[in-house]
Amino acid sequence: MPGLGISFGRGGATTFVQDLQHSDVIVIQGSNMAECHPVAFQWVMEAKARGAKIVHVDPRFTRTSAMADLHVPIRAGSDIVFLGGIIHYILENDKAFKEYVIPYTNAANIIDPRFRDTEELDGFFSGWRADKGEYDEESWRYQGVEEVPAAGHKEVVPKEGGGGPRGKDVKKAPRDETLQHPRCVYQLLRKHYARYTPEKVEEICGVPPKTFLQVCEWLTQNSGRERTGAFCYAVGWTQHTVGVQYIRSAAIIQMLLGNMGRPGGGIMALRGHASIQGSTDIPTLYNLLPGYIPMAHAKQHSLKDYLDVNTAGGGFWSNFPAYFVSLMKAYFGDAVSKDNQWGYPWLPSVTGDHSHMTTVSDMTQGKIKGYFVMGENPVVGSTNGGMQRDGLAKLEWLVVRDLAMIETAEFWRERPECETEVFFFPAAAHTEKDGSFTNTNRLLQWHHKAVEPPGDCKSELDFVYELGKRLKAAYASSTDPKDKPIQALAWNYREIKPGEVDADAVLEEINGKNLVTGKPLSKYGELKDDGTTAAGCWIYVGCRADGVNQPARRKPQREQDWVAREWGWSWPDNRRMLYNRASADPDGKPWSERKRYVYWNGEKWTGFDTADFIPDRPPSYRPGPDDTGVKAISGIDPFIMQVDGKAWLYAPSGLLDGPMPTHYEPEEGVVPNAMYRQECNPRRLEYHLRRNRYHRAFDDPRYPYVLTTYRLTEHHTAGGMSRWLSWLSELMPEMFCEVSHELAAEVGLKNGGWATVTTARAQIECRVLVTGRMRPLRIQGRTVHQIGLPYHWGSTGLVRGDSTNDLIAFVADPNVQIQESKAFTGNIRPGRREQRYRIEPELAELAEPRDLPGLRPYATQPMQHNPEKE
Amino acid sequence: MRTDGRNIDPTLGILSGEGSHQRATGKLEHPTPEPQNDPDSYYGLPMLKAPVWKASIPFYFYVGGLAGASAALSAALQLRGSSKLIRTGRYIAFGGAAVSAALLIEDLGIKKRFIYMMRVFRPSSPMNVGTWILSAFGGAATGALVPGIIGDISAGLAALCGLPLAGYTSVLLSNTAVPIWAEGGTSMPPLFVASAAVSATSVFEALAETKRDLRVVRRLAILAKLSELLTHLTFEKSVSRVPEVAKPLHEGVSGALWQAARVGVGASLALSLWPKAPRAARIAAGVLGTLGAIATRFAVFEAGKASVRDPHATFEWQRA
Amino acid sequence: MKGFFTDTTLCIGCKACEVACKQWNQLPEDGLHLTGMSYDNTGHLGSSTWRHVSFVERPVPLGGTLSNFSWLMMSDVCKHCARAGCLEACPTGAIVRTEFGSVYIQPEICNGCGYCVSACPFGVVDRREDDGRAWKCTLCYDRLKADMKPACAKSCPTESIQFGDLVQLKVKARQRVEELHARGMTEAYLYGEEQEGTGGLNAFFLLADKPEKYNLPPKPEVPTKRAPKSWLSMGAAIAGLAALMLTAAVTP
Ligand SMILES: Nc1nc2c(c(=O)[nH]1)N[C@H]1C(S)=C(S)[C@@H](COP(=O)(O)OP(=O)(O)OC[C@H]3O[C@@H](n4cnc5c(=O)[nH]c(N)nc54)[C@H](O)[C@@H]3O)O[C@H]1N2
Ligand SMILES: Nc1nc2c(c(=O)[nH]1)N[C@H]1C(S)=C(S)[C@@H](COP(=O)(O)OP(=O)(O)OC[C@H]3O[C@@H](n4cnc5c(=O)[nH]c(N)nc54)[C@H](O)[C@@H]3O)O[C@H]1N2
Ligand code: SF4
Ligand code: SF4
Ligand code: SF4
Ligand code: SF4
Ligand code: SF4
Ligand SMILES: [Mo]
Repeated sequence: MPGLGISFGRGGATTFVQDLQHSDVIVIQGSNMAECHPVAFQWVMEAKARGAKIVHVDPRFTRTSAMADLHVPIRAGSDIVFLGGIIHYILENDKAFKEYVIPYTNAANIIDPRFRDTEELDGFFSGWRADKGEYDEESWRYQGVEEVPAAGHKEVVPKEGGGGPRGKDVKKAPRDETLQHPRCVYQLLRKHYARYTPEKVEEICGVPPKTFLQVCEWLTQNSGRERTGAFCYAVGWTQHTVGVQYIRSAAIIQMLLGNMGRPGGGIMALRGHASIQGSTDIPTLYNLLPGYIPMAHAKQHSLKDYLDVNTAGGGFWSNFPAYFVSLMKAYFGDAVSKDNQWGYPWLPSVTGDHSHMTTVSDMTQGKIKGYFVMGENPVVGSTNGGMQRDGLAKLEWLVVRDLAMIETAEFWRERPECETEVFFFPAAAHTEKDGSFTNTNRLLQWHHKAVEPPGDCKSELDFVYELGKRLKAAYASSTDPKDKPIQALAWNYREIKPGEVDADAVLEEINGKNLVTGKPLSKYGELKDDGTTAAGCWIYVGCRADGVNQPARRKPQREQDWVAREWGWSWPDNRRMLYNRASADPDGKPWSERKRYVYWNGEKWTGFDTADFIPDRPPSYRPGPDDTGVKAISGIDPFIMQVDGKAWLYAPSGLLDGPMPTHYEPEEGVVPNAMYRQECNPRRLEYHLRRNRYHRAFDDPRYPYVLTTYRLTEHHTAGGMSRWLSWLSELMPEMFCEVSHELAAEVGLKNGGWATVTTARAQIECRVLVTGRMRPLRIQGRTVHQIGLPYHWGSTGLVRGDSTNDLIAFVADPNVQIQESKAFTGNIRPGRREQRYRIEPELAELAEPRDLPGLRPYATQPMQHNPEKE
Repeated sequence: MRTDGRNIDPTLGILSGEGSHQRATGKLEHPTPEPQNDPDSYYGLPMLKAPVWKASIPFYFYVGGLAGASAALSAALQLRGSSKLIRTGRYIAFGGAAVSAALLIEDLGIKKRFIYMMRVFRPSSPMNVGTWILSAFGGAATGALVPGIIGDISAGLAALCGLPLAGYTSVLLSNTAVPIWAEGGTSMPPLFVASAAVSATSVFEALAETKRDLRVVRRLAILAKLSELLTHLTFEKSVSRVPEVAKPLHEGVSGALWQAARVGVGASLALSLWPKAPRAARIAAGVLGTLGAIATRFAVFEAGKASVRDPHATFEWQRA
Repeated sequence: MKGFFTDTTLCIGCKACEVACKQWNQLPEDGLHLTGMSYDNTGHLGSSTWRHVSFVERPVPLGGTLSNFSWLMMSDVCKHCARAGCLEACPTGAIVRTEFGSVYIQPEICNGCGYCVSACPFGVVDRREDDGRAWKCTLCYDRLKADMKPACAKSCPTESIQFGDLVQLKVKARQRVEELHARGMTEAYLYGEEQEGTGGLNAFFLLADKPEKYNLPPKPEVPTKRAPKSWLSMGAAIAGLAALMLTAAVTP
């Protein structure tokens, strides 16, 4: 979630769900919280019971809307206009919480005179390189500053090394705290959003001004010292070609209203799988190492290059070398030292985009021989199922580890020609093994084995450990330098019984220890860059402080205060709310009694939570002109991971598609972009393949309707954990689509009957639910129909059905390469599909241009890092 | 350490739940009727559960009624001195009792547990009370087959149990949530009793040989049939208080049976009224009367099922 | 006296209760077909569905909200009536009143006569044809014995299902109604907390529309209440018949 990472410094939800109970207004947008996060949703209900206003902005009236005070139907793919409209309202009616905004954000920073806005360049920012199809962010920077590195996984565009830590001079950047300077961020925002008026919101989102203004009023009435509001989002926002900018928009609103780091405030990113947060902290992504440490890049030839590029001049990323060296010690133990660059050359280095879609399209071209699928069901869960199957069919071998015989392991049955050799390994479920989940609160919770795994089922841990041992054995005698990493890898974990690794031993390695004393570390501040500490994931340091398994703590909330810090353990340093220094005013006093959380008691920061600040640094502290690193963090810099300690209303770097969120239509839409002549995000990633045909940008007569996809409470994602279970299957037994009464009448659909949905990629059949929960919208003077499609079904399991994802094309957001599965176009007709569906012959793909002439080469994916998905 | 009172199979994690005792042999496709767009009910679904009883139950209503009334009738005849019909009546009572028991057991979900019906005595449950009546009747009816004084006394007892046996089934039905049955709570018993009388007299009428018997039996048969026709009307009138509830008497299977019953009984009555009717006519009267009586029981039974199927019957009846 | 207070205005329709019940009681699935009735693919309570969540879509707003549409959800269950039609009708005594005040069917006694099915004014209990016996919610008798909450209440994320001491629940419930009225949801009311037809329900509800909408009876009454009248009328009828026969017998 770089949307949050870039704005505030850490790519994780800024608060914890229990804190929602203190909100005075909650806007749920881009999430169907009640259906997809029912347990977390109890805190929204709690807030409601305490009198908070609940708003749900969603194309459909869902079980969340049913609980809300106001449901706002919106056109899928238009949120930036809605949120931009709110920003416009705040700025033009002077509703920003200035006492907060001026000291804590970069509103006052003055931007480089060369900067040009999309308002001037009709949908482009300055610095567009038509030849490369990317931005050069030089002109986006703070005035007079040679570089402003973004926090966290900041290496969005990998650089050659050299020049030492970056952004040292950021603190010297000029600021105008009167916010009057025409090029200060505050004024730039005003210009940028000048045209995002209620009228435009109605024209583009289909939301009447009255409804829209109601939301604005609720938000602004609940901002300031006494009151706070929160935003909750999930993949209804992320799965767009501008997904990251959706989240940035919400971030800007929350900064302007002074809601960050305060009780009842923040942005609640509702993460998906039980441990999806964990799978980005200790990533399952090709371009990150544990703790958001960027993967080595081919351009960075030596450790020095690598460290230079990734070490920030200010904030806690200035300790980057300590985090990295400790990680290498955890990987390789005594085999690494200063002399061999801590093993840096052994790391595989990224040469380009190896994200899921790119990998699969390579697969279809026979570029990939073998593939491990562990805990994923891409044939159903990932877009363009047809391509997914094509790719798998071109492999030599495929290993699937799963609980059930999912489609990804069974796809070959319908393909007599397929020669892929498929190995299926039954997996042990979370109830059948010890381990930890890191949930949406960044909270690590330990789970103990409840029952023995049946039959041959094995846990990932045991499987991977065994695999590693065999690889080491296989390469033991090799003299080839490329095999050195495997030989050097520290690979001996405590076993409970032969073949069963003690998961706690892995947690010990993650927490790390002082290699001199052998004692476990208790906070990441203790990490050193001289090889005397080892830690598998620097942000997790402390999860086993004092040798105690902190995630296994289960002290009930009723036996402690509402923050319940003795339940489990959350990163960083068991902080439950990030940036909580901002819950106190610049002088360190609580903004108000009602919103008291963390404050300065005269000699240190105290309160309900671990202060997200240097514990003994007084509010009055100001860094000297030449201070760098942690010293450079002033007493009023709550965002300690940021190079300048401020929250970024404007992102001078770090995002590939612009410093401020700008409205672009989805790859496939129904209307032209009413804001700019540039139709779509110029930086989006397209995949031009036979199997991946795109519709026209808009007005495609063959595909007149907006399609959007989502989940149901009754099933889980690609169905591996629900479609095999009778108790869940009977609750949602068949694939269906949701349509409005009006559309049903227009096309002749019957409730409970059959319908066929088509795109240029595929054709699927499903049952029909005709419902008042779907409503046509008036957009740019025409009626726009939206069709809702859950995506849980596939060809195996207890209940079966066509897969929605067969319909969806590969097209991705540039920052995280997430698919655009929330807004695309298609058609629907009554009746069942033909048995054998043939994709229509080639068609003039881009009748309406998505891009201004000559401004975008149809380049394939340029090289970049992509931080965690979702 | 608090246990959850439940054994869990640690290798599979399966609980031995209450419902795991259900002998679920395969799927039961729950017949959810086509949902209707009906804002005043829940998609037009029935609010109540339809009675699960099979045809053996309404048929038992008839047989039980026949047996009970026959016992009473034969006892009555005995007061006039000897007659062939007395024995016949006792045989019918005995046979009827046996068949009744068989029909009831036939309908049980778990037949071998029929005896549990007599685990308790429960006045609040007409079915339980009925079971006791039937057993008593059965006993007496058996005893009535013994020649001599014992037989005569038992026959008397059988008559005493026979009358309630002929009537309690109406209480059993009206003691339910089924709108038309419940609404007919006071008008159904006379109907059932009359119908039982028709059942018995029809048979006797056909079998009577001596003029002497015939006179009495015909007199009774006529009165019985008249009262059945009468109670038909009173029942229909009483349940018509809420039109929605009476519907099943006018439409569908139940409606047809209801009409058939009247026609049957009516025709039978006409024949009985024919003074010097030939034997064939008397037999015809008997057959028609019997069919009419059977139709009555099935009509009421089917009407109950139908009135459950319609949620508005339930709603309007309760709102009325 | 234990029971349920189900506050339907808190129900998010997640069906966790339905699943928890089936899981705890290891109940079989019944039917895998889409009904087309909003998100309700279960339809009704039955012999192997002891919790059922109903979904009602209405083109009108819920009091106190600004949306012009509303979606009512309600988790239905056996009412454990203070005067239970099923219990009073059961001829075998299989249905008993437990120490918790709940109405419990003893599977080892039930002989499947089916009388309870027609005697329940709420259409709750049903006979499972292949099993032959009648089944319904046990109020998690086994869990209560082990002093645990019923599985459905335990799994409810929003406390729409509240389990506890009836007296306290009723106090809570009345407060909740006042709260909702104050917030503009004037249509909110309690169903079955007092109910003369059944002497009150040990599982009562807070509803936001008329009972019929949720497929609940508007004025349920335990059938046994009408039984005495029927018995009398039967008595009269058989007396009449007896008289008739006697007179017929004695007149020459
Ligand atoms: N029961 C259940 N819970 C789950 C999951 C599950 O499969 N089943 N999956 C888990 C996972 S992996 C994830 S990532 C989360 C996802 O959690 P959510 O993101 O909440 O779930 P979705 O249903 O994918 O999408 C949410 C809503 O976005 C709306 N939407 C679509 N397009 C747009 C748009 O352009 N703008 C706006 N404002 N809204 C839009 C859809 O109508 C939908 O209601 O849920 C997690 N929880
Ligand atoms: N159209 C459309 N497509 C989408 C989305 C959408 O909103 N719309 N959402 C996207 C999102 S957010 C996500 S997260 C993906 C999810 O898509 P996938 O991740 O492909 O689907 P899942 O079913 O979650 O796959 C998880 C699998 O792991 C198995 N499993 C569970 N536990 C274990 C274990 O311990 N070990 C092993 N080896 N396997 C285990 C489960 O049985 C299951 O089959 O779908 C994406 N696709
Ligand atoms: S299943 Fe787990 S993650 Fe999903 S809602 Fe329930 S508690 Fe939350
Ligand atoms: S609701 Fe029906 S089944 Fe439940 S106790 Fe009352 S009468 Fe018996
Ligand atoms: S079916 Fe079982 S529980 Fe129901 S009344 Fe008959 S014996 Fe009692
Ligand atoms: S109380 Fe127990 S048996 Fe009854 S519905 Fe809840 S979980 Fe099921
Ligand atoms: S668990 Fe609670 S919220 Fe979910 S459906 Fe059942 S009652 Fe409603
Ligand atoms: Mo997800």
